[in-house]
Order: sequence, then structure tokens, then C-alpha cells
Amino acid sequence: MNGLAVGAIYGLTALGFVLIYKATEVVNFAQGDLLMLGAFIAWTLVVPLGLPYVLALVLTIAAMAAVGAGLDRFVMRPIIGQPHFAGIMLTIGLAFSIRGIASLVWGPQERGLPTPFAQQPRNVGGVLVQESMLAIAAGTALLCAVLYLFFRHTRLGVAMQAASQNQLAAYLMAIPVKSVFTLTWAIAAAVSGIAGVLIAPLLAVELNLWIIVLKGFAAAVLGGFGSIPGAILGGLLIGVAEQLVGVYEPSAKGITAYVVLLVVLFAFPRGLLGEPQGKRV
Amino acid sequence: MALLDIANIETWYGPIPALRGVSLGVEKGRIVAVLGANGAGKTTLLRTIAGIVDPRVGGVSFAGEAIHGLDPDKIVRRGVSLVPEGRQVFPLLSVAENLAVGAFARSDAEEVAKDLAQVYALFPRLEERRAQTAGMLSGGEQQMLAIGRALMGRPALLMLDEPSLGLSPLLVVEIFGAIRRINETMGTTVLVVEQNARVALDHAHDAHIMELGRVVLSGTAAALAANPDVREFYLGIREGGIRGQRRWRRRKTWR
Ligand SMILES: Nc1ncnc2c1ncn2[C@@H]1O[C@H](COP(=O)(O)OP(=O)(O)OP(=O)(O)O)[C@@H](O)[C@H]1O
Ligand SMILES: [Mg+2]
Repeated sequence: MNGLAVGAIYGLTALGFVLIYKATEVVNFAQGDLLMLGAFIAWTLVVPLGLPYVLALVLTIAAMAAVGAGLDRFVMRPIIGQPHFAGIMLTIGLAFSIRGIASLVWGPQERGLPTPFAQQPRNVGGVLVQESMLAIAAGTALLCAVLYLFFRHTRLGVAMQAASQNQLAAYLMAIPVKSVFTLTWAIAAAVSGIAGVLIAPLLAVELNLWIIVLKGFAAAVLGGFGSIPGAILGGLLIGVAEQLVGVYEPSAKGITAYVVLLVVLFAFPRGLLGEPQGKRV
Repeated sequence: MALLDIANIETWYGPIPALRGVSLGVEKGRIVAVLGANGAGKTTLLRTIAGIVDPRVGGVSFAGEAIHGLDPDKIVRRGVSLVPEGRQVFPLLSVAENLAVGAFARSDAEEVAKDLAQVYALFPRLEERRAQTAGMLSGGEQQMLAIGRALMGRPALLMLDEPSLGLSPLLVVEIFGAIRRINETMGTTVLVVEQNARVALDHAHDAHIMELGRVVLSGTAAALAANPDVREFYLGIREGGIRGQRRWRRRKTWR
């Protein structure tokens, strides 16, 4: 179950990658730093400011959405139309900037984010599970359900899908494509923020949280880089594999994600749920 | 005053001029065809009107207001829709979702429902396949979907870029028949770019001929269809007698 909970966090990070990539064709390497930023914001709200957990969660989501929208509007938008390479360099630069700012504001020490969920195991259908792990799984599932309903069943969500499938045609349907990009960044950053809050019982709030980005990236590739369910599935798979390897051979835990990635890509070159070579114009 | 007024536009792709001073007007309620060989600048003309590229010189006005320089989504909201070259449907959305996206800018749900019924009446095949993913449709069905999707925005001016491209002769006639019906029953003004001069002149009211970024000949479709140069170079009808035999000596009269 721990593996699933960790995997859910990887999956959410992968989800951020996929959302931004599908809409704007930029691979956002600052995804892990956004997660870290979300964790620090939540910590600030809960510990020094003493706000209740749920309120802090909501405020963190709002703050991260604003951060995402701002990044797109003021950092990414000016380079629309430049080669992909420029976008990737920019997000790497962004990652370092966020890390730098966080280290100035919060410093290098590790902090704990208290959560209302108990650490003792509970019996769920015959399996002993920690309540905090259950909260991560439930939070992730809920978030996925909300995103699914949004993208499938709202006018804006369908328009966002359309814009990711054919930008020119989306423009011709009066969809404000640039605003769609901004909204996508806002959603992706909010998702990272949620991941940063959910991760609390697993890891301390600290600068190194950004490293999750590496696992998230592997999860996104595993899932087919472009598939939202694939991202979550990829994350879960890596999380569980790491957990199992960690039990039998702790020294190999670190490389598990990449071994799984290689093996799966060998069998499914397009990733688990990769789209068949779509007509992309 | 024409509904669409294009005044001496020049559009460049970097150092390459694609339109070298094009002026033409589209009167309300008409079907206007623009013919021309590959590379004449037909697509560029429509892309310039739609705001995908901006003219370097000159202006475009629609219903009396300048629209050049606006973003494409703003121009659509003014009532100018483009069915782009190569259809460009949203491949992973269903037929019904594609049509719904076409009405994205509208909030009059009841009227949207009426327009949807009209589109389905125009192209019954779309209704049969409404749950199917658009990427799985045949070329002809995708063309119908692209036209239907544009109609869902209820445009005053519908622009089509080579709707006949890659379709069987029978289907081409079906598509142009539908364009005619859109014009007659919905009152939509149509600007259509074509290489298939025969079918375009058969269905349009007015026509213009473009060569190398310029409009070289304009008139009613009937007048152009009777023009000997058009007959020879665009309709492939060789007149008998001296003219036909000494074709290589002739120069097109408009140069
Ligand atoms: N994106 C582009 N970049 C550079 N040059 C371009 C671009 N698009 C078109 N051109 C050039 O502009 C000229 C006009 O092209 P355009 O696509 O408008 O022609 P067209 O009449 O639509 O041709 P076709 O019938 O083949 O579709 C051509 O010489 C073409 O090479
Ligand atoms: Mg063309």
C-alpha cells in the first residue's frame, strides 16, 4: 500500500507533465519544483500561520494555480513559436529559479507538515493500511475523477482537448488558445501543489523534494507521454515496483524506476497507453 | 458596399511574397470562387483573411470594420469562419464533440441545437456517425464534419480551402451541392478556393483567378466559364482551329 501511495504521487507529477505537454508541446522540467513549492506553501500555512489542514490545502491549490498561470503568462508565452528546445531550456531555468527562491525564503532545513491522518494501521478489507496512505490514494483518485469529468463533460474541458489535438483548428473555432495554455499551466501547477501536500506523511518538506520530478518523468514516459490514465498507471507501477524491490534488495531501490521503464519500453515502445501514431498536423 | 473587402493586401512569408497586392470584394449572399494553380496564393489569401497570418500591406474589412491584425479567434467571433485545407478535424474527439466545439463561442443553447439539427439534415452521415472518433472517418466524412463544425459558429461568411481535395468526383459534387444549399437556405455568404475549376464555376456566382500572388481575372462564374483562356488553361477545353493548333504561340491575354 505504501508503494501505491508513493506511486500516486509519482503519477500526479507525471500528470502535470502530460497536461502541459499535450497542450503546449513543452516538457515542463519544473514540475518537481512546483511540487516542492506547494509543500512549502502548505507548511507555511499550517505551521507558522496555524491554519487548519483542509483550509491550507485549498489555499495551496489556489496559490499554485496562480503561480502556474503567472509562469505561463509571463515566462512561457513570450517564447510561443520558438523551437521546442527553447521551451525545455526555459523550464529547466525555471526549475532552478524556483529552487533558488525557495532556498532563500525557507532555507535548507527539513520540516514536517502535520496532517490530520493517523499513522497507525487500519484494517481495510483484511489488509492493514495506514490511514495517511489511504488519504493519499483517495486524494489522488478524487482528483483524477474531477479532472476526468472536467475534460470529458464540460464545454471548456472539451475545448481544451480540442486545442491540444489541433491548435490551428482550435483557433478557427474561436477558442482562445493562449488562455487555454495559461489554464493548463494553472491546472498542472495546482496538481503539483496537491501532490506536494499529499506527500507530507511520506517525506519531509525540504528543498530536495524536487527530485520526485525524475520519477514523475519516468512515469509519464512509461504511460505513453500523452495519456492521462497512462501517467497515473505509470506512477503506480513504479511506486509498487520500488516498494517490492526495497523489501528484498534495498540497495537497488533507487534504480528500480529506470529498470521498469526500460523493460516496459522494450515491450511497448510507445509506452503503456500511448496513442497510436495520431494524425498530428 | 461588399460584405468582405480586401484592399491591396501583400502577405509575405519571411522574404517570400505570397500575395502581391490582392484586391477583391465579396458581396453578401454570393458564392465566390477563387481559382488558381498550385502556389498561386489561394490558401495564403484565406489565411490572411482569417488572421492566421497578417498582411504586410493593405487591409481587410468585414461588414465595414477592419479585421486585419486581429487574432484568429477574434475574427471568428465577428462571423468569418474558415474550413482549412486538409479538414483539420479534432481526431480524438467524437463527431458530436467536434460539432460542439464549433459552437464554442456561442451561448444561445437553443439556437445551437437548431443549427446542429440543420447540420445533421445537411449531412445525414454525420448524424449516423456522431459517436465515432473523427480521426476514424473517411476523407469525405471529415470534409463534411469540417464544414458542419464551421457552420456551428453560424458564420456570416464561410470560407473553404479546397473542399474537393482528395475526394471522389461524386463526393465533390455532393460537397458543392451542400455548399449551394448552405448558401440558399441559411443565407451564408461563401468564399471558396478551388483547383477544380469545373465544379467551382458550376456552383459559384462570381469567380476570381489568381496567379503568382495576384488576381488576374474576375467576373461572374458564367462569364469566366465562357472565357477562352479560362476554358483552355483551367477547364482543359481546347478550342478547334488555329488557336488550338498554335497554342504554344499564344500568350494569356491578361499578362
Ligand atoms: N509557411 C510558408 N512559408 C513559406 N512560404 C510559404 C508558406 N506557405 C506558402 N508559402 C509560399 O507562398 C506561395 C503561395 O502558397 P499558397 O499555399 O497560398 O498557395 P495555394 O494557391 O494555396 O497552393 P495550393 O493550390 O498548392 O494549395 C507559394 O509560393 C508557397 O511556396
Ligand atoms: Mg492551398
